[in-house]
Amino acid sequence: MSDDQPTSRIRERLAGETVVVEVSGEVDALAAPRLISYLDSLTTRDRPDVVLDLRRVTFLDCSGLTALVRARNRALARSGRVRLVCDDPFTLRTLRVTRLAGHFTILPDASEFRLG
Amino acid sequence: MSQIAGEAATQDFVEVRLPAAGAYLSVLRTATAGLAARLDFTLDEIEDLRIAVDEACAILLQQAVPGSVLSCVFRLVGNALRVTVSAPTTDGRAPERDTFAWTVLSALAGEVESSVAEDRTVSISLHKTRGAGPGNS
Repeated sequence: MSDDQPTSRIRERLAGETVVVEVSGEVDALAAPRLISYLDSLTTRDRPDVVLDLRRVTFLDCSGLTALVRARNRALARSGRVRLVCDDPFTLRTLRVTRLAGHFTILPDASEFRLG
Repeated sequence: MSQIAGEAATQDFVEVRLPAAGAYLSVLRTATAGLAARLDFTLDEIEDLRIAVDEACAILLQQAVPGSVLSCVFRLVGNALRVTVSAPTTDGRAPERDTFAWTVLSALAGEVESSVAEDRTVSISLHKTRGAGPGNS
Protein backbone atom coordinates (compact mmCIF):
# COMPACT_ATOMS: atom_id res chain seq x y z
CA MET A 1 0.00 0.00 0.00
CA SER A 2 1.60 3.23 -1.12
CA ASP A 3 1.21 6.53 0.67
CA ASP A 4 0.08 8.38 -2.43
CA GLN A 5 -2.73 6.00 -3.30
CA PRO A 6 -5.71 8.31 -3.69
CA THR A 7 -8.77 7.62 -1.56
CA SER A 8 -10.84 10.22 -3.37
CA ARG A 9 -11.25 11.56 -6.88
CA ILE A 10 -12.01 15.05 -8.14
CA ARG A 11 -13.67 15.88 -11.45
CA GLU A 12 -14.58 19.31 -12.69
CA ARG A 13 -17.03 20.61 -15.28
CA LEU A 14 -18.33 24.03 -16.22
CA ALA A 15 -21.97 25.07 -16.21
CA GLY A 16 -21.89 28.64 -17.48
CA GLU A 17 -20.00 30.69 -14.88
CA THR A 18 -20.36 27.95 -12.31
CA VAL A 19 -17.62 25.40 -11.69
CA VAL A 20 -19.12 22.08 -10.66
CA VAL A 21 -16.64 19.91 -8.77
CA GLU A 22 -17.57 16.27 -8.30
CA VAL A 23 -15.77 14.69 -5.38
CA SER A 24 -15.99 10.96 -4.90
CA GLY A 25 -14.59 8.40 -2.49
CA GLU A 26 -13.13 8.93 0.97
CA VAL A 27 -12.11 12.46 1.91
CA ASP A 28 -9.83 11.95 4.90
CA ALA A 29 -6.53 13.34 6.18
CA LEU A 30 -4.73 11.60 3.33
CA ALA A 31 -6.95 13.05 0.61
CA ALA A 32 -7.74 16.50 2.03
CA PRO A 33 -4.51 18.33 1.13
CA ARG A 34 -5.10 17.67 -2.57
CA LEU A 35 -8.72 18.84 -2.30
CA ILE A 36 -7.63 21.96 -0.41
CA SER A 37 -5.05 23.00 -3.01
CA TYR A 38 -7.53 22.22 -5.77
CA LEU A 39 -10.26 24.36 -4.20
CA ASP A 40 -7.73 27.10 -3.43
CA SER A 41 -6.99 27.32 -7.15
CA LEU A 42 -10.71 27.73 -7.88
CA THR A 43 -11.16 30.48 -5.30
CA THR A 44 -8.32 32.83 -6.19
CA ARG A 45 -10.27 34.92 -8.70
CA ASP A 46 -13.07 37.39 -8.01
CA ARG A 47 -16.63 36.12 -7.51
CA PRO A 48 -15.93 32.41 -7.72
CA ASP A 49 -19.11 30.35 -8.06
CA VAL A 50 -18.29 26.80 -7.03
CA VAL A 51 -20.68 23.89 -6.62
CA LEU A 52 -19.21 20.95 -4.73
CA ASP A 53 -21.06 17.77 -5.62
CA LEU A 54 -20.53 15.46 -2.64
CA ARG A 55 -23.06 12.80 -3.60
CA ARG A 56 -20.39 10.21 -4.29
CA VAL A 57 -18.40 10.89 -1.13
CA THR A 58 -18.34 7.77 1.03
CA PHE A 59 -16.43 9.22 3.96
CA LEU A 60 -15.89 12.76 5.23
CA ASP A 61 -13.96 13.67 8.36
CA CYS A 62 -12.82 16.98 9.82
CA SER A 63 -9.94 17.32 7.37
CA GLY A 64 -12.48 17.11 4.53
CA LEU A 65 -14.85 19.48 6.35
CA THR A 66 -11.94 21.87 6.81
CA ALA A 67 -11.43 21.87 3.04
CA LEU A 68 -15.12 22.76 2.52
CA VAL A 69 -15.07 25.55 5.11
CA ARG A 70 -11.80 26.95 3.78
CA ALA A 71 -13.21 27.08 0.24
CA ARG A 72 -16.39 28.72 1.52
CA ASN A 73 -14.48 31.40 3.42
CA ARG A 74 -12.15 32.11 0.51
CA ALA A 75 -15.10 32.41 -1.89
CA LEU A 76 -17.03 34.72 0.47
CA ALA A 77 -13.95 36.93 0.89
CA ARG A 78 -13.96 37.38 -2.90
CA SER A 79 -17.73 38.04 -3.11
CA GLY A 80 -18.32 34.54 -4.45
CA ARG A 81 -19.98 31.45 -3.10
CA VAL A 82 -19.56 27.73 -2.55
CA ARG A 83 -22.67 25.57 -2.63
CA LEU A 84 -22.88 21.88 -1.82
CA VAL A 85 -24.84 19.14 -3.54
CA CYS A 86 -25.53 16.39 -1.07
CA ASP A 87 -28.27 13.81 -0.57
CA ASP A 88 -26.40 11.23 1.49
CA PRO A 89 -27.94 11.00 4.97
CA PHE A 90 -24.59 10.28 6.65
CA THR A 91 -22.81 13.22 5.05
CA LEU A 92 -25.77 15.49 5.83
CA ARG A 93 -25.75 14.25 9.41
CA THR A 94 -22.02 14.93 9.73
CA LEU A 95 -22.62 18.49 8.51
CA ARG A 96 -25.42 18.90 11.05
CA VAL A 97 -23.60 17.38 14.02
CA THR A 98 -20.59 19.62 13.37
CA ARG A 99 -22.97 22.59 13.02
CA LEU A 100 -21.69 23.41 9.56
CA ALA A 101 -24.92 22.69 7.68
CA GLY A 102 -26.25 26.19 8.34
CA HIS A 103 -23.17 27.79 6.80
CA PHE A 104 -23.73 26.27 3.37
CA THR A 105 -26.46 26.27 0.77
CA ILE A 106 -27.10 22.55 0.34
CA LEU A 107 -28.81 21.42 -2.85
CA PRO A 108 -30.35 17.95 -3.16
CA ASP A 109 -29.28 17.49 -6.77
CA ALA A 110 -27.21 19.13 -9.50
CA SER A 111 -29.86 19.13 -12.22
CA GLU A 112 -29.71 22.89 -12.68
CA PHE A 113 -26.00 22.59 -13.59
CA ARG A 114 -26.39 19.85 -16.17
CA LEU A 115 -25.94 22.10 -19.20
CA GLY A 116 -22.81 24.12 -19.57
CA MET B 1 -20.16 -12.32 25.59
CA SER B 2 -19.16 -14.14 28.75
CA GLN B 3 -16.58 -13.22 31.32
CA ILE B 4 -14.38 -15.55 33.36
CA ALA B 5 -13.87 -14.36 36.93
CA GLY B 6 -10.38 -13.02 37.60
CA GLU B 7 -9.45 -13.10 33.94
CA ALA B 8 -9.69 -10.50 31.21
CA ALA B 9 -12.67 -11.12 28.98
CA THR B 10 -10.73 -11.96 25.85
CA GLN B 11 -13.87 -12.20 23.73
CA ASP B 12 -14.61 -8.53 24.46
CA PHE B 13 -11.19 -7.38 23.33
CA VAL B 14 -10.04 -6.64 19.79
CA GLU B 15 -6.73 -5.01 18.94
CA VAL B 16 -5.73 -3.73 15.51
CA ARG B 17 -2.11 -2.75 14.96
CA LEU B 18 -1.08 -1.03 11.77
CA PRO B 19 1.59 1.29 10.40
CA ALA B 20 1.24 4.85 11.72
CA ALA B 21 0.60 6.28 8.25
CA GLY B 22 -2.37 8.05 6.69
CA ALA B 23 -2.68 5.40 4.01
CA TYR B 24 -3.92 2.91 6.62
CA LEU B 25 -6.71 5.09 8.03
CA SER B 26 -9.21 3.58 5.60
CA VAL B 27 -8.30 0.07 6.77
CA LEU B 28 -8.96 1.03 10.38
CA ARG B 29 -12.26 2.72 9.47
CA THR B 30 -13.41 -0.47 7.80
CA ALA B 31 -12.40 -2.57 10.82
CA THR B 32 -14.21 -0.13 13.14
CA ALA B 33 -17.40 -0.25 11.11
CA GLY B 34 -17.32 -4.05 10.93
CA LEU B 35 -16.83 -4.42 14.65
CA ALA B 36 -19.50 -1.84 15.55
CA ALA B 37 -21.97 -3.57 13.24
CA ARG B 38 -21.22 -6.88 14.94
CA LEU B 39 -21.95 -5.25 18.30
CA ASP B 40 -25.37 -4.07 17.11
CA PHE B 41 -24.70 -0.35 16.98
CA THR B 42 -27.15 1.53 14.75
CA LEU B 43 -26.08 2.72 11.31
CA ASP B 44 -25.76 6.30 12.61
CA GLU B 45 -23.65 5.14 15.56
CA ILE B 46 -21.44 3.07 13.26
CA GLU B 47 -20.82 6.16 11.13
CA ASP B 48 -20.08 8.22 14.27
CA LEU B 49 -17.54 5.62 15.39
CA ARG B 50 -15.98 5.38 11.96
CA ILE B 51 -15.41 9.15 11.90
CA ALA B 52 -14.40 9.38 15.59
CA VAL B 53 -11.76 6.64 15.36
CA ASP B 54 -10.46 8.22 12.15
CA GLU B 55 -10.24 11.66 13.84
CA ALA B 56 -8.44 10.26 16.88
CA CYS B 57 -5.89 8.51 14.67
CA ALA B 58 -5.43 11.56 12.42
CA ILE B 59 -4.69 13.62 15.56
CA LEU B 60 -2.06 11.08 16.68
CA LEU B 61 -0.49 10.81 13.22
CA GLN B 62 0.44 14.51 13.38
CA GLN B 63 3.13 13.68 15.91
CA ALA B 64 3.59 9.92 15.54
CA VAL B 65 7.15 8.65 15.18
CA PRO B 66 7.67 7.92 11.46
CA GLY B 67 7.63 4.20 10.77
CA SER B 68 6.06 3.37 14.12
CA VAL B 69 2.97 1.31 14.89
CA LEU B 70 -0.47 2.67 15.68
CA SER B 71 -2.47 0.52 18.05
CA CYS B 72 -6.24 0.54 18.27
CA VAL B 73 -7.92 -1.41 21.05
CA PHE B 74 -11.68 -2.02 21.12
CA ARG B 75 -13.37 -3.13 24.33
CA LEU B 76 -17.04 -3.68 24.92
CA VAL B 77 -17.85 -2.29 28.36
CA GLY B 78 -21.45 -2.90 29.28
CA ASN B 79 -23.51 -1.09 26.69
CA ALA B 80 -20.62 0.96 25.36
CA LEU B 81 -17.65 0.50 23.12
CA ARG B 82 -14.38 1.89 24.45
CA VAL B 83 -11.80 2.52 21.75
CA THR B 84 -8.24 3.47 22.66
CA VAL B 85 -5.81 4.50 19.95
CA SER B 86 -2.17 5.05 20.81
CA ALA B 87 1.12 5.69 19.07
CA PRO B 88 4.67 6.57 20.05
CA THR B 89 5.22 10.24 19.31
CA THR B 90 8.18 12.51 18.78
CA ASP B 91 6.88 15.28 21.07
CA GLY B 92 4.77 13.54 23.72
CA ARG B 93 2.26 16.38 23.59
CA ALA B 94 -1.28 15.94 24.85
CA PRO B 95 -3.70 16.60 21.95
CA GLU B 96 -4.96 20.17 21.94
CA ARG B 97 -8.62 20.39 22.82
CA ASP B 98 -9.43 23.68 21.12
CA THR B 99 -9.09 22.25 17.61
CA PHE B 100 -11.83 21.46 15.14
CA ALA B 101 -10.74 17.81 15.07
CA TRP B 102 -11.16 17.47 18.83
CA THR B 103 -14.56 19.18 18.69
CA VAL B 104 -15.75 16.77 16.00
CA LEU B 105 -14.31 13.83 17.91
CA SER B 106 -16.12 14.78 21.14
CA ALA B 107 -19.36 15.54 19.33
CA LEU B 108 -19.44 12.13 17.71
CA ALA B 109 -17.95 9.90 20.38
CA GLY B 110 -19.48 11.34 23.52
CA GLU B 111 -16.76 10.83 26.10
CA VAL B 112 -13.16 11.44 25.04
CA GLU B 113 -9.93 11.58 27.03
CA SER B 114 -6.24 11.59 26.29
CA SER B 115 -3.08 10.62 28.13
CA VAL B 116 0.67 10.82 27.62
CA ALA B 117 2.93 8.07 28.92
CA GLU B 118 6.50 8.59 30.12
CA ASP B 119 7.85 7.05 26.91
CA ARG B 120 5.91 9.71 24.89
CA THR B 121 3.24 7.28 23.78
CA VAL B 122 0.09 9.36 23.35
CA SER B 123 -3.32 7.70 23.73
CA ILE B 124 -6.83 8.89 22.96
CA SER B 125 -9.79 6.97 24.37
CA LEU B 126 -13.36 7.35 23.29
CA HIS B 127 -16.44 5.86 24.81
CA LYS B 128 -19.48 5.39 22.61
CA THR B 129 -22.69 4.23 24.23
CA ARG B 130 -25.29 2.37 22.22
CA GLY B 131 -28.49 4.33 21.74
CA ALA B 132 -27.11 7.62 23.11
CA GLY B 133 -27.03 9.56 19.83
CA PRO B 134 -24.25 11.91 18.76
CA GLY B 135 -22.60 13.59 21.71
CA ASN B 136 -25.16 11.95 24.03
CA SER B 137 -27.45 14.86 23.33
